[in-house]
Amino acid sequence: MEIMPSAKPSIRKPRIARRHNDNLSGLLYTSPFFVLFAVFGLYPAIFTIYVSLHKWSLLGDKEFVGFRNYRLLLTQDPLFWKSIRNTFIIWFESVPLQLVLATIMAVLLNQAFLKWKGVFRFLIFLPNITSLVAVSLIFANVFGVKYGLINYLLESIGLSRIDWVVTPWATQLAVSLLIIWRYLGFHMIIQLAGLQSIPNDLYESATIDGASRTQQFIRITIPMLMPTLLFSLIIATTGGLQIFTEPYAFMSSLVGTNIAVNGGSSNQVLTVVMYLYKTAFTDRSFGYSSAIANLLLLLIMLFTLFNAFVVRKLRD
Amino acid sequence: MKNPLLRLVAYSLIIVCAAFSIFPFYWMSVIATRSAAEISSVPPAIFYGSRLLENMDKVIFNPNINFLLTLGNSFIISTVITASMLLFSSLAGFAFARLRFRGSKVMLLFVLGSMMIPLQLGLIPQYIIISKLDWLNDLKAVIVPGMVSAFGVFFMRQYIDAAVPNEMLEAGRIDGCSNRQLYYRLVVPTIAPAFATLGILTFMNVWNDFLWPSVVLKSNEMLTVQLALVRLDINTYYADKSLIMAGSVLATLPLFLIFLFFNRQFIAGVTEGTVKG
Repeated sequence: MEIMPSAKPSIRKPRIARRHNDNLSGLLYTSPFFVLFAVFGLYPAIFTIYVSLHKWSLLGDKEFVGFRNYRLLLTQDPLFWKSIRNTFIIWFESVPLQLVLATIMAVLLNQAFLKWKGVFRFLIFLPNITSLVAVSLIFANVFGVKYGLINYLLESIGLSRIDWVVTPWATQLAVSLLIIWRYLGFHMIIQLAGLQSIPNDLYESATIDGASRTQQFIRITIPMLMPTLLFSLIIATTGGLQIFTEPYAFMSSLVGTNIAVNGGSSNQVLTVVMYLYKTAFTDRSFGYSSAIANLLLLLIMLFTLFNAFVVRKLRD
Repeated sequence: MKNPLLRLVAYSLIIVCAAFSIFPFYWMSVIATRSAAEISSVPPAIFYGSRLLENMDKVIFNPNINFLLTLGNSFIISTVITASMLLFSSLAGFAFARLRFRGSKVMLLFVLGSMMIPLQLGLIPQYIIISKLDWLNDLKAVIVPGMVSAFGVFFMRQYIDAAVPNEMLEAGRIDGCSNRQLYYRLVVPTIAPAFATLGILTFMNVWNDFLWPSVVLKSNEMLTVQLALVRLDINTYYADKSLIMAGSVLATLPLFLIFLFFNRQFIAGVTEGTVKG
């Protein structure tokens, strides 16, 4: 592995020998990542920028069109804006509730009196390890219009059925529930890790000073948990803006791939990445699709910067 | 919390959440024991039926798909990627956390920046590269791009930075260890929980991945188990979802066992990798 002979404890130049060694090992140890990233990450990214300035159907030649794809997207494509709106609606319906629930669960699992902690933790994390093929089928089954469990329950308590397939808010709600279900345990574990890293002496000295449990929770637990909560928020935001598989697989199981590609009969769960997928693999407009990819990347970068800004503000 | 009422509320909340989490699993296993006709009935079947063995039989000896072979493919892909991910991520993480080499700061920023690029966006150029390499329909097409990731490198850097003290490495250097020896003798034994966490996450993600394998693996002998699942009911008279559910039970079982087995180490690794450092 290492080409250079290892640094003998030379008395005269240990520092120089070490620096030389570290330079070499550093490059060697990090090179697998950079080689793979160059081929399967960076090159595709640059290629995407290049293609976005062209009209291309993958088979024929690329025709240079300048910024036309971007102009069309931003000014003349209501479906693109709808996909952005849908992405944010699904985000708002899932992430805040999910993070609050995850934090409550983590706080409860961190209580001394609670028994079977390991079991509860395991059960709540379980959805994260399932395949989406199975999950989407099960959810399609639960939300089925004719034979679904939820509609059956609604009818049996005297309410009318909900058509989860064509009612926009209902489809969006179903997808959001699927997302909450799948990632609740993941965020719970992260919050639990955050809680357990809070030093115990903080609570001990607060108890000595006569602070009540509620005061301790508001004054110590919540502020100390902020960095972990922000970590969760960042992951949920960058992941949420790229949401694809959940709505796509769910709709495929519910109504078949032909309608799923459009995000439902009235495009109600068409997210940005789903729209990108549709323009590329159904419409064969790879230039247009690449332009969507780049706009999305820009959006993600803006949000990441915004997050970093908020983190800095909160720290000060 | 001494108040028994509060305890009751706490237990109820957590039991509701746990039930919400496992109910779909329960239902998956129920459907796996039912016939196609029983699934589409009112009221929906919510208790176990009697067709489990029959459905399992139809899955394993399916006329379209050699299900066990696809399980084997998934196993090969997931194991190779997990092994290489652990090796390469921990080596790079070690370098970023504890070696002083030229350009390391910029390179680490690069790693972080690359986490922002959504991988699905590069689907088309990635597909073109794979077909130029003549790797279509070859397990390599899934394995090679996944061998190391920015997340893995960053996770390992955070963990090593928190868990491997500089003094320990300095002591090793005084004893005449090369960087490679430091890695094998001191770093690797110290970061076992991180291996468990990253290993489980990687194995899980690769095992469950659908989009990329569906783009590059097409022939029936090369499918992963996730791709096989959706083809189980192709030749049935009407699409028989109970077969897919029986297959899903079989496909989820390995992950379930792995997770059950490494549960404790997994949690320990999460604590160090995300919070400290």
